Amino acid sequence: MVTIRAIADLRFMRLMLWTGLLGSTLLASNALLAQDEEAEEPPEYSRGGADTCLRCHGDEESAHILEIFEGPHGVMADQRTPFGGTQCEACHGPGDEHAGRVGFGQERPPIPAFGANSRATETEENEICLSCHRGTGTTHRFWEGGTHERQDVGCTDCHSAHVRKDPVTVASTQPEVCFECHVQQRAEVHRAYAHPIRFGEMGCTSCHEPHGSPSEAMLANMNVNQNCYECHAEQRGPYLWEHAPVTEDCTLCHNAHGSNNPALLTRRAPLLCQQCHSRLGHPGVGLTGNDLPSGNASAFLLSGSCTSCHSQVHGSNHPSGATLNR
Amino acid sequence: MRRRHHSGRFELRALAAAVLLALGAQAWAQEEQNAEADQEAGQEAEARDPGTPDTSRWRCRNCVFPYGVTGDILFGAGYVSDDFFEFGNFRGLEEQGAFGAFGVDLLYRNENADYVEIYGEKLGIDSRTLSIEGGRQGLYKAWLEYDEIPYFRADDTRTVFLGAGSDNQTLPADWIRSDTTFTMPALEASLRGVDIRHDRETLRLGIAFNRPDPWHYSFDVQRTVKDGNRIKGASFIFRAAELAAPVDYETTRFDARIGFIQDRWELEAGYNLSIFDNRNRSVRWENPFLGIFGAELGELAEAPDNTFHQVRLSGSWRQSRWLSVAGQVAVGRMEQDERLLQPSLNPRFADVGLPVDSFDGEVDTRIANLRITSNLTDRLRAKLQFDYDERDNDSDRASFAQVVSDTFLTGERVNEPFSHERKGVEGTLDYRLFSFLRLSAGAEFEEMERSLQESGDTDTAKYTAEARATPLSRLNLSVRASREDREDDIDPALLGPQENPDLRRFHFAEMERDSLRATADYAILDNLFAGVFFEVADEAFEDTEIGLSDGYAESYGLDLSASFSRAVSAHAFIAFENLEGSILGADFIDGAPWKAEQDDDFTTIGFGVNFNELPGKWVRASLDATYAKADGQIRIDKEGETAPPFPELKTRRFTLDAAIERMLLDNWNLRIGYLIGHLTEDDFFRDGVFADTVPTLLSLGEGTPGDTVHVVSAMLRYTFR
Repeated sequence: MVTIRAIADLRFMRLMLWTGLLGSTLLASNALLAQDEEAEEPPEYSRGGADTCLRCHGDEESAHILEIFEGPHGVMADQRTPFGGTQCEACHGPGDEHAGRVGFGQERPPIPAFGANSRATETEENEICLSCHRGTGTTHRFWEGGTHERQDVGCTDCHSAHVRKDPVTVASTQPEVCFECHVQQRAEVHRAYAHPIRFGEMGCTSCHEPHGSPSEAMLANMNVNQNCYECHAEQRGPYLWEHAPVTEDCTLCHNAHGSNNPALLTRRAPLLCQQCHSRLGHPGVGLTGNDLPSGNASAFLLSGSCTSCHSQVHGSNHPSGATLNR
Repeated sequence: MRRRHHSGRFELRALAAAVLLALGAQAWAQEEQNAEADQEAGQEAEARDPGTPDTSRWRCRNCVFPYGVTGDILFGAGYVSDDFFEFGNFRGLEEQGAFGAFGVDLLYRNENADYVEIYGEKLGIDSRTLSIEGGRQGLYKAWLEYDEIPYFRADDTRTVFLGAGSDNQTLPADWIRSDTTFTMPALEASLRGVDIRHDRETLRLGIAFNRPDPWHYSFDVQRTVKDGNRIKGASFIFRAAELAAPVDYETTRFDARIGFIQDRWELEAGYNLSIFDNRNRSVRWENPFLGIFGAELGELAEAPDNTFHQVRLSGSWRQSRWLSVAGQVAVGRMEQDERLLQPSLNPRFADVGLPVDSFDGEVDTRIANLRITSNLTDRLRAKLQFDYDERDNDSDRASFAQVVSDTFLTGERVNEPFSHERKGVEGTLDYRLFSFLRLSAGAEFEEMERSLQESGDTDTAKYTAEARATPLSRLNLSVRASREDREDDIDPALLGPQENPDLRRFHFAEMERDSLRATADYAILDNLFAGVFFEVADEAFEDTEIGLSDGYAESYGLDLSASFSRAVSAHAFIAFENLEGSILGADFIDGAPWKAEQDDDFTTIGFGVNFNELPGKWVRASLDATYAKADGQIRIDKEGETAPPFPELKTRRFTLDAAIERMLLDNWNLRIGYLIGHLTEDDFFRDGVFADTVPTLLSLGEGTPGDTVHVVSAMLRYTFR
């Protein structure tokens, strides 16, 4: 067991005070450490635009690059796309230096962005994408400050620009892109009971908004239950007889990424139910191996267990359904 | 909301968080002055900069814009070696025999940016998906999508009820009721097979406009039909039958958005409407057991028709790279007013009335969050987030006579419309100590208030520390540790006289949770990458004597990926997971105490390889294989009872999917596919539980699957160039 109890001893005010002081100290140290950046000559654009680039990058070996002309970025008539503007250099940056003559034995200068050894940082490259993709009707507006941005995820870590169809935008191919980093979730969707992600019927974005949604766990909807109701509207109610945890958070009983139990439950009934119910009478009885078919086969244990009678666990609309069995 | 005595503490925290922000703002103001100076310098530089280049000589002569139709269509046939119902779950292909195999990926585009895109997968089987999108890129687009997901649960299930899967399930004419399933004389002869399955079909239609700047609009309508059946327990006093209950749902969703976009800020307003329509109001079934007090007919309420409206406003503002603000506010209402069923179908209780004819259910939801992010310096970054989430259940309350299981009348019960309100604040600081090391610290506080439950208020504090390092150019490391504490104000008296007073429900019990996650990514070679992860979380409910007392989760794994030029790439992974939980209980409150432990272990192994080039006329090939193994153990120690252990719960699944493609003619390829699926399960809850196994449960007899199936397919691919 890992304990970090020392951290727990911190109380909020103390933490805030220390972080404030730390922030000020770091700010001062940063100012001392900061070095004036030398003013650099602004780079020049190439003379021929894409034609210049394609002199070297237009051969068979570069077929994967040329696929951009089949995709949405390669549409001249759409002024928002690279090829409606400064073509390759719209994203890769001014390329005159990169495309210029190079002396014998001299290394070719890298293209400013999105290339091998490019000098642009991840943040700068992301800014290039966002300069067009902000406000394209999606939630890119939430990118700054979102979890992925704070973890230095680059747009091109997930998206492919030089393709006809970006794999991360197709439900059947999207999970593999996400699983490159979210390796634990890849294992989870292979559990015995899981949403049909491994079958290509759902993508991660069916539930999550990876561009930094401020909702919990970057959910596409405002909270967990709203997310689930998108596909399971029958559970929304409100029911006459509600089951309190159901109204609060579906993940109290279900593990959305996968489970070893039917219906993605976190545990098997009756133990699932006995986490919260220990009433006088049958609910509190501990069921053992004596309740298997080899002993006294018990309806409280086998098949649906508690739900064989209390089948309306998500709520009941029956006037006599207070115990969720009608 | 009942109690608010913790809310002062919460607001104090929020205030303290604001002080931190103010501290940051001071620093930010300093940096902003520097930034402005830099900006001025930049503007001067811009005057010299080519800025917008002279593109008058840019012809793009070598750009190969493929106007017209591109893409490909696939058509052919396949064959499934065996009937294997569960293999078809979410996939189709559940029956032995031939099937049509079709796919399409076509794009038409012209030089005016008009386009039509048609994309479809698995069109010949029940998991098909097809989408058509068209428009003028950059101006408008419209889309039409169809998607189908099959759910296959069991085909070994049998029922005695006539009309299985419908809303009225009756017993055969020659049925003789009995006290137990052991003594039902017509049981075996009356059992008829019923498959447990349903299909989900979704049709979606939408349109979006991106003009005129800076406005954008979108409208989207989606209709989902879910049709089939599911297993549902239906009981009388301590005797139950499993029904194949009907599923006949229709959900219509409408979504409209309008957005306004400027360089530094944008705003979007949206309206969402969701209408759920259940074709069945209830399910009636005849009691197969001898009914007490004339209880011969029962009725289960089906999910009521309901509606949800929500207005959502979201936006962001980027003052500069030093400060950005994003947030969203949503106000919604969930409603249902379904006419109520009779309290009982038992004629004995025909005179039991209802206080209202229909339930005027109404829940208001108010959700908001606000995130402020600031790059205080080049090295220091802060994030502050506020969250608010309220479910305000404004449904009518009334007193309802309870005819328990259509058998006897008990005291009246007043319905409990549960409400809750969650408030949270989170602050995070990220500091780049060195170019290769970044440190983060965070604190989150959440207060949750609930109505009508034994705990009115819980406070949760979570502290997080994280380090991310790149000690070598090829190595990335990260470690994240967190500590979470929850306090409650549980009043055991509110549990009620019949509940165990020591019970602490886990979602508001006092809890301490520690977690640690560590990852490492290493580029072994330029084209070979390895990643490892380890995660552990430990929960302790110290105050819990009855209920969930401990939880533990551990997982670790290894990932490998390699690319050998653009022609060949491969990946492999292995992951181990362990989930444990302990539950404490006591028979009849003061009877034998017991402790149950559930222990689930998972192992997942996979590998895949893709060949994008092959010698000769072979074009491409791929192979993906996954093996997933899950073992579950449930142990229970009960004072004074000796019992055999529960058998282990086991799942073994192996899937291999391979394909290879060969060029036949210029535009024609042949694709040959092979899929093998192997699935076995051991589940003592279901295995060996037949209709007459449990005396008080007339089960559907659902067993566990175990089989292997092979699928071969041959498709022709025609490529439009």
